[in-house]
Amino acid sequence: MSKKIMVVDDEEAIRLLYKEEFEDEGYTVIECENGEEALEKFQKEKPDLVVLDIAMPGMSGLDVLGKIKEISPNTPVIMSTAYSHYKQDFYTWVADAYIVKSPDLTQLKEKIEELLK
Amino acid sequence: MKNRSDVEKLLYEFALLLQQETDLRHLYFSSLPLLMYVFDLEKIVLFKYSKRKQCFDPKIGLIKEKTDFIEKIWKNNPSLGELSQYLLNMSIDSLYETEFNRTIREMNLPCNDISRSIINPFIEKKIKNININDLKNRHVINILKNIGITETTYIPLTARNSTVGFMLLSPSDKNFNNPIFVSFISLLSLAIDNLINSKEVSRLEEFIEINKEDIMQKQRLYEIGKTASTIAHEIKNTLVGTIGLFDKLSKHIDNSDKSKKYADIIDTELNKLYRFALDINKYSKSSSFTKKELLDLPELIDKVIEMTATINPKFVFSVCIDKNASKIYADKEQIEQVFVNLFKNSMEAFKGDKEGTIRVIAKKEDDYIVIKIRDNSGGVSESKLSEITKPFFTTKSYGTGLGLSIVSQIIKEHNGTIDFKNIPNGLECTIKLPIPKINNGGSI
Repeated sequence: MSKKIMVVDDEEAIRLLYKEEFEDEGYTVIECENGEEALEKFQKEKPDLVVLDIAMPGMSGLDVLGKIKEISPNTPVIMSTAYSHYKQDFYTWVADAYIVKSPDLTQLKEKIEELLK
Repeated sequence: MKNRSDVEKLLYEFALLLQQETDLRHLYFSSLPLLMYVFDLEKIVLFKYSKRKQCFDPKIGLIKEKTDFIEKIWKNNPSLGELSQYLLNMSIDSLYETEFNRTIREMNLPCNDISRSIINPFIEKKIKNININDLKNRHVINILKNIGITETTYIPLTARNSTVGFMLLSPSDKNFNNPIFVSFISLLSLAIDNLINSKEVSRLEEFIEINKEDIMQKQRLYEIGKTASTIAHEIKNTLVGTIGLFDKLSKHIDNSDKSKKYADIIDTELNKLYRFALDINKYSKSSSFTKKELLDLPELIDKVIEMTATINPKFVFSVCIDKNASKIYADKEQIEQVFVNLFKNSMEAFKGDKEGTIRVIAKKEDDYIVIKIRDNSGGVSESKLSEITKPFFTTKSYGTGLGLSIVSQIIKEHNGTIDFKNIPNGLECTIKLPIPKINNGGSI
């Protein structure tokens, strides 16, 4: 069975891009457009990995990260954001990886592969 | 003549009025003669603490014969009001222009000498008798002896828990623990402190007034910068998905020349916008995120050459880094950005058929690592040389005009300097980065 990746991002274009690219790699993708939806779907779908945006309206990615790690500490979470300065935010240390968003998904895909090994 | 307790009461009440003084010098010369008279003193020397110089400045020297005028007024039996008015309004010229005062003010005492050899006013906050011969510093002993002080009483002047100065009074056999005396000293210290503070406030106000335009300009730029960075972030975030999806779309378009051409243009333009947003973000990135470490300069330059060589493979690099200039203390990512931008700039400015060259030379000079980057790309017209690090300045049709602004900002954040000058056929950029001092006083 293919591995499940949950993509949490408020940008539709990014969700779509990630979905297509990850599906091409053989993953199943669950899309969420905000933190609340993410938590709900996380419990139901039990994904193998989460790609999480930080700056979202409503619940921030950092809050979602905390909750996910509470529910399932072993599920890898990759923080994906346009800001590189969150790297210094100690909240993100709980995350398994930190990626600065780019149209080139090579780095992100490599990270996913590595974490799902 | 009034009796002693009346006189002391007057002294105390006068001290309360001192808080109205608006001039420090006038404050000293209107109050100290009265103190001198009431306590029958011969000499007063006052040192004021200067925050700017961080030392005690000899400010006032007063001798008894110059304060006779108080006795004369006293004989007429004035009321407190009359006496106060006289003192608060009198001219202090004759008190200021004395030989003794001049000697005191010209007393050339090195800052440390006073606190080391007399007493440390920051520690010693009690009245204390001092015999000049017990002092350690010959120089200070001689100065004090020359002005006729041998036995003296040290009076600390403190207000709101901070030391504003101290006085030396002679003779030293008076009852300085008298409550009137103590109150007078506290009120005098308070008045001095108030005046110093109000002076500082007005200096600050004056500074703000003079630099108003500049401060407002900076404030505006700051606001614009913040807005620009937010907009850039939004653009960047949106483009990540858009560029990615467009990439996918362009694989599905028909193979006609027109379609390919349109797709190429859209792709180029989207990427240009994306780079522009990236550049603005880099430019406005806060310095608090610089993470400095010790870096190997030759290794770093090699890496950047490798990264940029693809822009124009015909470019020839020559690197000459002195051994003692091979380590720099900098943020790796940021300093790489500096060299990438500089090399890119040289390569993109290059015109003509001859071979393009970039020379990198690094040397240690005093406390700096000096790195020179020379190219043969034709240089910049002299009139534009001072403009090239300004944001949005560009000579290229496709640049964002932020490349060199980012370079200059990063170097500034590393406490270094950057200069550009024209050399035959090209431009020379000189970067100076400070060598960090390590704790044992040596340098890395």
